[in-house]
Amino acid sequence: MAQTNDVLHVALVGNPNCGKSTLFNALTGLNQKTGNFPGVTVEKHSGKVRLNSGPGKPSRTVNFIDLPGTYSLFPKSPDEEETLLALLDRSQADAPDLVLLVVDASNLKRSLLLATQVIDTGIPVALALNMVDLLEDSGLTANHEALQEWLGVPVLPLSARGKTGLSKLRQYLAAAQPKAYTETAYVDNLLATTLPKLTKPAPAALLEKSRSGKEIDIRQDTLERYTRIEAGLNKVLVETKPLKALAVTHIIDRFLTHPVMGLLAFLGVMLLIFQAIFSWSEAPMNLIDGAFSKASDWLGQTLPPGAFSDLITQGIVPGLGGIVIFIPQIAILFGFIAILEDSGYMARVSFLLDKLLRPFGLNGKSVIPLISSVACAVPSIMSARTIKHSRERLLTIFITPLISCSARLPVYTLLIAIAVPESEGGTFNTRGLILMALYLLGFLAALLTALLMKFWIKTRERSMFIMEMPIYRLPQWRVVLFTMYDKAKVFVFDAGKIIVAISIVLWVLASYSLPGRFDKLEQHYSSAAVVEQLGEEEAATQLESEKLRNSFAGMLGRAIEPAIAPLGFDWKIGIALVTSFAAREVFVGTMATIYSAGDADETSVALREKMQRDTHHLTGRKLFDFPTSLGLMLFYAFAMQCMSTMAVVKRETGSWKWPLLQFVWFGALAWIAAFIAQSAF
Amino acid sequence: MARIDRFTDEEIGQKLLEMGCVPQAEILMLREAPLGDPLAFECGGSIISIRKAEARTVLVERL
Repeated sequence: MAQTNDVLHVALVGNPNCGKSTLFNALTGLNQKTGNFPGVTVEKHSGKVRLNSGPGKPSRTVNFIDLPGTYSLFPKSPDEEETLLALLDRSQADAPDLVLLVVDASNLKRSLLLATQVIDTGIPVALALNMVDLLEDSGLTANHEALQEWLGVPVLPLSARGKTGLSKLRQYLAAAQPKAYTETAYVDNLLATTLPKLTKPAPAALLEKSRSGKEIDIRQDTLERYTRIEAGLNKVLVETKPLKALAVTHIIDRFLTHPVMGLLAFLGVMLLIFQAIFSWSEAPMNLIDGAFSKASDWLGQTLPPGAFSDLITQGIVPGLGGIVIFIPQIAILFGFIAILEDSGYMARVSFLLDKLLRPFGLNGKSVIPLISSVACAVPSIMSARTIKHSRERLLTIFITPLISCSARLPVYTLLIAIAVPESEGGTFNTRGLILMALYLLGFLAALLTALLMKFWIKTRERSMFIMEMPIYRLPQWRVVLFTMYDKAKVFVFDAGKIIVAISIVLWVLASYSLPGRFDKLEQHYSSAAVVEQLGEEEAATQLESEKLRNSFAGMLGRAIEPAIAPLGFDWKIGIALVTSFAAREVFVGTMATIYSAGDADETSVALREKMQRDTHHLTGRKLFDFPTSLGLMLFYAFAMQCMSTMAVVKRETGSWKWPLLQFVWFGALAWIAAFIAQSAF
Repeated sequence: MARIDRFTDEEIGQKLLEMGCVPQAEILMLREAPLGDPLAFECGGSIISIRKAEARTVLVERL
């Protein structure tokens, strides 16, 4: 018996696109990302909420667990296996006391197949009859009382999007006293049938239980359930007729999934996103840039001179400014991805591109990880779990980091601003087009890599592409806005911590050297002969840059320089390549720190201008001229400079072999691409 | 418009069954993706995308 003062663990289970994640968000307010693509929930998301059954009545904590959507308890992909194990593995601390079955009222027959299977496991069940608003729109009603009587479990009608029926559900959960779980013979049979086919080893306790079970004839079992469901449904649904929302979907699909117009529309959507990232963000970015310059100036004048205020004005403030300025672009990017996922459009892109991706050893379902990795590769790699075929899944995981993620955006933006002059007028500016070309190159490198690997890895597994295309729904603007806010926050705080830490370390490394070295330099540049020859100002400038070159950071950069010199990169860029391994966006902060440390000019000139003025110490050419800037952008486009991505690839593939291979292969691509840029332009 | 008669492939048949495409259900071919593959069908109130080779394992009766 669950006590009211104990935590009640409630697992949300349902078909893909049944509104499960939307309901989870509405209940927890945690606002994990929900999508309208089958299988967006790839991790076990949970959220604790304190619920009250009524004024003056006792309250209790409910822990909601959102499980990946599935059509049945017989798993067909790694994410569906997680749902099965989360329900049946009772050794977990959060094994569900109650399953909240989320059922799509507009597709009752199919939803009830999974529902009856879960009910048969003996885990206490309550049924959330979702999307009743869609039925009502079409003049239909589902008799939830008849459903409750027939299934023998509580049924709560609601609309997770319309936020109706939620308070009744909360009241029910606050007071619910689910029976203790009693195992049924069905569980043993279910385990005996499913465990031998899992992709991962099953927990020992479950294997033990499966020995006493009999294998289920899945086909027979499914057909029998449907027969019972159809008989029962006659009492529940007054009549069935096509949904209005489905008719609207057909009209939109006539355009968006058209063989020609559909592809053009997809290209148009992508182009719109890249243009928006550049043009919509310009005004807020200028505002932020100005504010940080002012703050830096003000601090420089206010703080007492000395090492400490140098650290703040030259290390931390520019480092922070370097990331805060990208908030508008990151927010716009994540906003668009959220809209694409929430509206149901991603499934259409899968449909459009399946045949085109097949020659590369990929699947239409690879589209979701590939497109979402424009935002970040880490969650995208996890979302490849919806792909059943093991080679298609491995290839998708392997090539996903080649798609330019949001962390590259600051690098691209800064370098494009330095090396590419702004075009005048016109809808599409050159800078936007170059940015798009970089994304395209990343995508092409990804396809090429997949093609090579396809011939290398042999498989006899059969590839399948049977997928539901959900009806279109208007994006939930609250979800989109929250995603934008949340991702911008994560970007600033997570990346911010790394950037501030690295800025500080780097500032120290750039400001100090082996004992005596700086003294020697100072003596040299203050000697009367040198000052007379160079002029006072020039002598001071040269002193600062010589000090930086001889600092600890300079030594590090110069150690790397020989390897990257053929690419036109100098030791300063070398330092950035090293620090970027913590996170690519650290590049901007590193540049900011290096250029403020090596600058005699105390007034704050924009980083961009300082970089534009710099010359290569060997060639005497502008350091960030077009070929080198382009090469550097290409280097960042291809190289595997992300520890988090390597860690998640290791976790998802179960071996260090793949992330290491990525590191070597992507590094080679990066070097070659930058070398070509250097030689060709 | 057609009616599903039976499935000749165990795995594909089971997947479709669970998605609500049961024998005797009516299915409606909607469209083809670029290069003629995969196909989109409406069945049981949902839109389902399936490759041509997979669709061939489903025997239907034309209505």
